[in-house]
Amino acid sequence: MPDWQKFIREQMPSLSLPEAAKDEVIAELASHLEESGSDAAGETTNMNRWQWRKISRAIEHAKSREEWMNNRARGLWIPVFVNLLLTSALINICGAFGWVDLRITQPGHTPLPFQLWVLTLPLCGAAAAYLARRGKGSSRMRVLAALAPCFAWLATIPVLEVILLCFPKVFAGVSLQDMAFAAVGWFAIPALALFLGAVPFLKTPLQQA
Amino acid sequence: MTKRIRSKITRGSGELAILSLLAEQPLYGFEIARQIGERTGGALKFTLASLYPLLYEMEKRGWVEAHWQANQAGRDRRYYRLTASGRRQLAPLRAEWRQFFQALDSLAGVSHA
Repeated sequence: MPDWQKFIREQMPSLSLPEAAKDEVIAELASHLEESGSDAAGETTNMNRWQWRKISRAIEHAKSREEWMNNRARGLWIPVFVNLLLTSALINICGAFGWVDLRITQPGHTPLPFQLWVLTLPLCGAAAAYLARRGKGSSRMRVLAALAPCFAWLATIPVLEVILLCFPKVFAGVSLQDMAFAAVGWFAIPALALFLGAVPFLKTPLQQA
Repeated sequence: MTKRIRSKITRGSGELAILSLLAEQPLYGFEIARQIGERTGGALKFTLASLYPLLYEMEKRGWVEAHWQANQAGRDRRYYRLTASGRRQLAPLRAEWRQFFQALDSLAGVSHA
């Protein structure tokens, strides 16, 4: 029996893949030829160099993660970035009007769980979900893109906890209850507002179904 | 028919054929090609050149996943299995093809030819 792995390796010298992936492809194609009858294997051995090059290119393209990464960027990361940018801009604008309550560091002050700027969040959620849908992101990706800012805010709460432990004098008046309020105000309610904005864009339009 | 359209039809039918087969049981490449040829009376024929790029593409999209497994004779084979995402693709693909054949039938009467 011919050494099919050697044969394929010789026919596909231009196959440009990471070594492990290349070995796997060659092993699989060789296993296919081993199982084929002599006629089918004969057809393959008679292929010319141009045909082998065409297979190499098709396999490279199929195995390439570039397209997958592009889809991921269009369907998730770009909408997440736009959402973070938009919410940051809006929070600053609302801050200028006094619609954001950031006074968690003030002794004895309990942050309000609901603040007026939350009303702007459905717009951000909608924009992110729309962009993710346009980038062919799945429903899960659209929800993630829409909720991204509140995950970022949630991540800051444990950081604040650590600061609170490190600088007890500065945060003397901030209790755990305040932090719980902050978690509701900076995660649960914004998440709901962002999600509400995303809802109209979670369904796939008919022409894409 | 332009080459591009023909290529899209071939590719689409190949995806549907592979997903339908794998919905029944996990199979390795050679067996996929053999069963498709046998069950379509040779109308659909996969070669090494057409089968593996398509399988790798489907693997990249997460529709199928593969693992190596040795048979009783100790020969290693790469088995493909349908994922949950692949299973979700199957119903719309079937509907799309049904619609395509109905449209072609109403135009050209292909199913009674």
